[in-house]
Amino acid sequence: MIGLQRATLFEGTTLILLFGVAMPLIYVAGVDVATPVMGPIHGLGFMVFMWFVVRAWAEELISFPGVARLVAGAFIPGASFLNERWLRRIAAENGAAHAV
Amino acid sequence: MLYEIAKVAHLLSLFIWIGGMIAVLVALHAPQREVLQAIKVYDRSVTTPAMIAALIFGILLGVLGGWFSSGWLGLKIILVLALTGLHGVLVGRLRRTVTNNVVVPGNSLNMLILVGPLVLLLIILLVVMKP
Repeated sequence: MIGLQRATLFEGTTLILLFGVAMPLIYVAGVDVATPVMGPIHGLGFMVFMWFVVRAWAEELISFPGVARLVAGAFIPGASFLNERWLRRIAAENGAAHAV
Repeated sequence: MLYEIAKVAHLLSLFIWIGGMIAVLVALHAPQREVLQAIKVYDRSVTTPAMIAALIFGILLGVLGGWFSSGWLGLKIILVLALTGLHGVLVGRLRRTVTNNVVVPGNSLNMLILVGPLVLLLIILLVVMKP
């Protein structure tokens, strides 16, 4: 579960940086310096996150509603941090000692 | 020059990624504990890093070539997401089989054998034709 938790945090962090820093810089300050960097980084983070989600589902570590929750959370700034705590709780409940 | 280097690295990592996916598929069709364990280690150390490298170099190619404004790349990204998901399904099944000793019947993987080449075909068509 560790890999999925880290991917969730990374995706959530890059989304906040994209929405909270890069986009305001364009639309408020008119400076387009951060988006060309943050856009591709977030895109990569999202794809790796999706890979971890599908893998965890196929491994039966999370159910389909869990997949829906994680994917929906990936589009809402801040939700990924709540989802990461949820994943941590699941890992603790399952006693999932095996690293994902 | 950087574009050509990125293209070579993208193709190389793509071939390694696809090769690793085929190895997982074949191993799951005729499950043997030692083979599955070896493939799991190979996937973790070679195939998955190759997938991430293919994504990184693909994004780099898109940035360097200015392709992100092209419609075909949007479609390609969706197909790459599908290919990534396919790999996720294969590795998830592999890990479940190794960890829980649960053998998934080979027939349930037949769909993946069809879907994988189809997705690849569409990706190649998009990249070559750039409609």
